[in-house]
Amino acid sequence: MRSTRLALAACAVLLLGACLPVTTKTPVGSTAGFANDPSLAGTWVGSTKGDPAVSYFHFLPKEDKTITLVGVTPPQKDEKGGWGTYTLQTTVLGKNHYMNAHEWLDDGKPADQKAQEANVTVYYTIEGDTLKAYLFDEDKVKALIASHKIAGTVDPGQFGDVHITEDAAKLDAMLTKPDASRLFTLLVTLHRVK
Amino acid sequence: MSRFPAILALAAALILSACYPPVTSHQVGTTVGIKNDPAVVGVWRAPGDKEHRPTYLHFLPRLEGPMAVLMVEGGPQPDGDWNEVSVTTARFGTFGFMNARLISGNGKSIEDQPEGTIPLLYRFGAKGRLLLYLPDETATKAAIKAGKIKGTITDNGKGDAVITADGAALDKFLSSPAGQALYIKPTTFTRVE
Repeated sequence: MRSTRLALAACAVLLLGACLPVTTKTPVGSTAGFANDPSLAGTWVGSTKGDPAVSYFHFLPKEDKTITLVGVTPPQKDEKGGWGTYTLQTTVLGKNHYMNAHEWLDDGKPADQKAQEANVTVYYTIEGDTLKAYLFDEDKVKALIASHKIAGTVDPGQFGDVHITEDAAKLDAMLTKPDASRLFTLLVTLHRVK
Repeated sequence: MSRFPAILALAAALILSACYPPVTSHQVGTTVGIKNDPAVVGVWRAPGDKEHRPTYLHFLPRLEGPMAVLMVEGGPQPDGDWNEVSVTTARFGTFGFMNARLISGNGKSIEDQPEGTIPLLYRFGAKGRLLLYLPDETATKAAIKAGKIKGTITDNGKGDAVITADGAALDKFLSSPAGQALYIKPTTFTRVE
């Protein structure tokens, strides 16, 4: 278990345990293209459901159509805090907004190879100054894979990682649907720091 | 002068600095004890203005050793900088010093910097504001040239000011009025709750 408790949208699960969130073989939105969502830029603060730890999320748009996310959890009562960085690509499929997140640094050190290579999909909504980020619901994706509604694999073991291996066109088509958000579960609610 | 990477946002003013601030070859505070000051731990913000982005400072203590400080530029403009700095602190009553050394800028290690640490002065102002002062380069060079404090000004074309005085002499000087005079203009940070 890692030392940090960064409640980072794409990676809280990564930081809290050995398991990866659901990953995709191809980035979501590759058929539509990527463009930085300007509404993300700036600093947000919030916490995951049931976790009193507050984290700050600095979204720093870059000219290369990626966003660097610097996430920092300040020291809490029994925690020293921690920080991490992520590289994001954002895309819009239909009316649905997504990020593809790759972990980069964990407390200043390169994240482990598995985490760096993982492409983690985050579905998100912004209403006013509230940002809600969602990860794929693992059980729902497992069910889709089991019923062959989407191509994917589930690693062995009770906590085996789930990987969507569907090709880009089918993946994007599925996530373009208006009800695609049903495949996701809320991870974190953030508020813009003004 | 060394090209000061425009990423040391330990104070927002630093972002526009063209050269490396004065450094000390010994850390400030050896006579009073160098330890993490809990009063600075947490999140601070300088608001920015028309020319500067807002800057956030995250002070993160470690189980041992220096604190990690994350400095992140805010605002919606592209290509904001973020940096990691290693910081130790020492309190001298109502003020203190931070010994700061850049670790990385935008995720890349920073190799091109003088040996030593940057001695920042800090105080707490009204309403708990954190006032951070960089040593003024001109005043520091003048103090070195006048023999007020032992140091060097490199002749490698960069003109970096390095205070080489030992710990005791350094603490005595920087806590004196002559030493405090090296610190002229603060950058004000407000704690983010």
